Amino acid sequence: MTAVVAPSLCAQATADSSRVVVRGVVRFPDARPARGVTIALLEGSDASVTDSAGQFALRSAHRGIATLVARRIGFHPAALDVIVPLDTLVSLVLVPQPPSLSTMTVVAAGEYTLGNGTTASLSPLDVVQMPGAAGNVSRALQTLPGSQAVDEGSGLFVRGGDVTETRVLVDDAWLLSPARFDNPIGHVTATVDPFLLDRTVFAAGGFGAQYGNALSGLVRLETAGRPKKREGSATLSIGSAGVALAAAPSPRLGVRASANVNSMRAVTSTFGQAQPFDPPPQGGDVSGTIEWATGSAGRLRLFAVREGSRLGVRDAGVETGTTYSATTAQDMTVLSWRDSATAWRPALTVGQSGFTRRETITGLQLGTRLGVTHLVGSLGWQSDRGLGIRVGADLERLSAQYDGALTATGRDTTRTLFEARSRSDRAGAFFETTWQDVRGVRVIAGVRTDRATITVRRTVDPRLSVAWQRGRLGLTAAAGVLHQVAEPTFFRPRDGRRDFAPMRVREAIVGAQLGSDSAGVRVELYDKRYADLWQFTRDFDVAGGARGHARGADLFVRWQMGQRTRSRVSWSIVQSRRDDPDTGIDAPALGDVTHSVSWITDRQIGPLRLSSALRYATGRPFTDIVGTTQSRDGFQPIWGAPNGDRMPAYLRSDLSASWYRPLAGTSAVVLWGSLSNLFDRTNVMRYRWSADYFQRLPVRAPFNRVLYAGATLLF
Amino acid sequence: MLVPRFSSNAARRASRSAIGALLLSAAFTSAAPAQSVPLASAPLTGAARWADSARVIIERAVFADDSGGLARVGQMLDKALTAFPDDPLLLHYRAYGLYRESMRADGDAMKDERTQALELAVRLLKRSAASKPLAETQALLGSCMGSLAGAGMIQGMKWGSSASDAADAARSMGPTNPRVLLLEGISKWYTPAMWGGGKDKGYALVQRAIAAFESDAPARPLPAWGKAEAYAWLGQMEQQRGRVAEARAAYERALAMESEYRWVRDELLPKLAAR
Repeated sequence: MTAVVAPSLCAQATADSSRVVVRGVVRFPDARPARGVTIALLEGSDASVTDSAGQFALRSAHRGIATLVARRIGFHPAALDVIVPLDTLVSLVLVPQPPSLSTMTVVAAGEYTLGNGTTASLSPLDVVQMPGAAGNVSRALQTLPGSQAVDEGSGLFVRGGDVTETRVLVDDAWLLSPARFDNPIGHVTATVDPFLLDRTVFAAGGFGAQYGNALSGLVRLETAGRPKKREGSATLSIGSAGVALAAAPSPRLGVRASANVNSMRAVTSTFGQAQPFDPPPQGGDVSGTIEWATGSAGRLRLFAVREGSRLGVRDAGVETGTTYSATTAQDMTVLSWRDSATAWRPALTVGQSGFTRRETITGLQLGTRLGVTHLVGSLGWQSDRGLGIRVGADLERLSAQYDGALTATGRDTTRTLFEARSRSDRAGAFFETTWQDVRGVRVIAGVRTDRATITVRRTVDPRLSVAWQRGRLGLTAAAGVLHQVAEPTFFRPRDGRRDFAPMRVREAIVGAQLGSDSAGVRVELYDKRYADLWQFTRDFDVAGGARGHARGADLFVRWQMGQRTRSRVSWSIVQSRRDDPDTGIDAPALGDVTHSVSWITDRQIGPLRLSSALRYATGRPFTDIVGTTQSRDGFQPIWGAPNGDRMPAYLRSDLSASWYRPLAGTSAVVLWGSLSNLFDRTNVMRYRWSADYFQRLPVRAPFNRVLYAGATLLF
Repeated sequence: MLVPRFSSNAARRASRSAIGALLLSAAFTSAAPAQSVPLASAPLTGAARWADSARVIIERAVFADDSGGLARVGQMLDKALTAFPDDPLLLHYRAYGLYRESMRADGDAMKDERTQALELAVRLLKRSAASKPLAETQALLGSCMGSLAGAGMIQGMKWGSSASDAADAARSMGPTNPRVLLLEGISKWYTPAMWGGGKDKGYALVQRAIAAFESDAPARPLPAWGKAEAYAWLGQMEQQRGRVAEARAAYERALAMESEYRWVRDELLPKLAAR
């Protein structure tokens, strides 16, 4: 801003002798007159506008010192102290502001976030305070649009896709979440303890080219960063205990460590169990983080976690008397480096994830051992004019080992059924450019290519995402091709043939959103066409080359009542069909849950926070048994139309409460509790049949009404 | 907290209007700012002139328990910020006024307004600190965040750590700054010894603050509040320690500096006399 006072013309008295005229001219730095500039004295409400010559005449009754200010959109205000009456012609120069990009608050198509603030995502507190989520990140994500409520497990079925098509990344490295041969208490998507995380972002589609090998959903977990001081927490609850510590030995170094153990035994022995667990789910984890600040906006972070769990369930299968038990161990180590100090922004991650599981299904013993090493690197460049470019590559080595054995009934002998080992390397590369202009348009265009040794073919995935924002209104659209290499358990080359095409989907999304973070409406429509899908048959054989189609709409409404009450409703509507792996005919997919609705409400009353959750879902499809045949091996079922029937609708309500009491400084104690399945509704999770298949017996979902409570000390 | 809560009756007795004070101050005639605020002879111009007016008016409103005055100075600063949108001192005083207003928003019914004011103050203070780091800005940031942290669990988790960081930054930037010492002393006074606080520590810090105020002469329009307030707090501490004469002397010292200091005149001294 430049301002001078020219000693020339005098202020002239007007017809109203109590008012004087302040005259002057406003110009641009190149001396051109500035038209349409608002001129005002801050002392009062007098204002005027410059004419085509940049001149103004401001009438004012003010006397004495005053601040004269000239304003026009796109320019720095020009201000000058004057003494009125003024015997000079005021000259002001308006200096343009550099083009500043409006803050894009429109979230990319397919991406969902929770919490407060324009950059908010699912925070650890969002997870642990969500009623019915049991502190599980995946279960919290199930309350977001785009996720279908197939069962009470933590599996993420996204927009009609299968649970195996959702990929979980920890600081960009792949966290294994393998397919399961059986899911007696629900499908599973692996995540980590929410308190190890800084935030979680869930994308139901429209991923950028940076993310490969994911067909339907993407969960990006960002681990907690370097603590700035010593802090910690200790938690004790019914069936679990945990401790977390953090320290900052130096201004640039921070460390975190945590350990947790849990067991459902105390809960099931107190409140009963909906399913005959033997033993009830139990497990534990240890983790650690070390971070070194490499510069003003750079960091090197090492994150490691190891988890173990165990459970058993009786009457777990289609036939009465089937038992299931599983022991699982999972570990992950991620070393990541980021630096955003300059316009050049490098990122490098190397991660190793391991998964070991022993399953027993009534004498059938199955072993799964997977290991993946994932190297991801990219380099971005960001201009101050809204243009960004990122180029990168990733390498992935997945080793898999499966074995199966059968223990004869009443004997100690075990017969090996199969042993299989495989290794798959995948190499991918991507280029992505982002452009945003001052009018509120953002375009992200990219392409990625991948090649896996197990598929022996290269894929090319173009992707495009567009967003437009004007005030509170935003419009989004995305389209692209996505590929995913099926897990090696599906890879069973026969007769030397290696026809193992990567699974593919072509998707298109359009959406609109109106409002802000705290109150608004968002709608998205999508259409997805699948090809080359790999699935398990009923007998654990594999079927490839399947096609599918999913289309639907997701609605997300958030509103706020005062400062204390927030509520949100997610409503996902989907129609999803796939070729049935047993018959090959087009049939509803497992994720064809027509309506999935979640209504979450939080209310803060002083130090007390109350939350409620109401979930509804159309019953998921299943294949009924419509008759039996008798053979030397006994009764054999006759299956009906693939996924031609539906379970009863799912309905569940949960409450949670937490009471926070600050002790001193940042110390505090939190008492919390939750009441799951408030009305003790009997939701049917699956069916089993009597030995002659004449009687269909519903198997209850694992959560009956349970009161869960605990305390956390923050220090 | 720093601002006592008075009856609305007392608030209605506020005398001088904010605009009147502004005009007086702006014309450099007889603007009689708080006695603890040193006046420099050189006239201020531009944003500094508005900031200087704001600090004087806020102090008058605080001493007179004038909620209307605080609201009006907020409007005045909003207007000034249209001309000087990134001026760090205007941002600082806008936030300081909001902080004082928030402390007056008593009772459950006012909780939403209080939270909104404090959250806005935090945003303004962060902008101010980004362009002109001041120990007082960090101290106020810590106090605002600390107040927000006490509102509930979410707020505690959200603001608690940041409040502590801001207080640490204030202490680092102004280890002998009397306003930083005063805020820390009040905080320690109310913090149990097992958590690092204690009555003795709080008392010692307020005494250090009072000593530091003796040589405190910030140039206009930098923050200069707190001297009379420090004696008001010292009086309360002395009173709790059973030293009635020392408490009375402290209150009288505060009134000698600010004769319209209603918290001391209408509340603290009468309570002491009733003992």
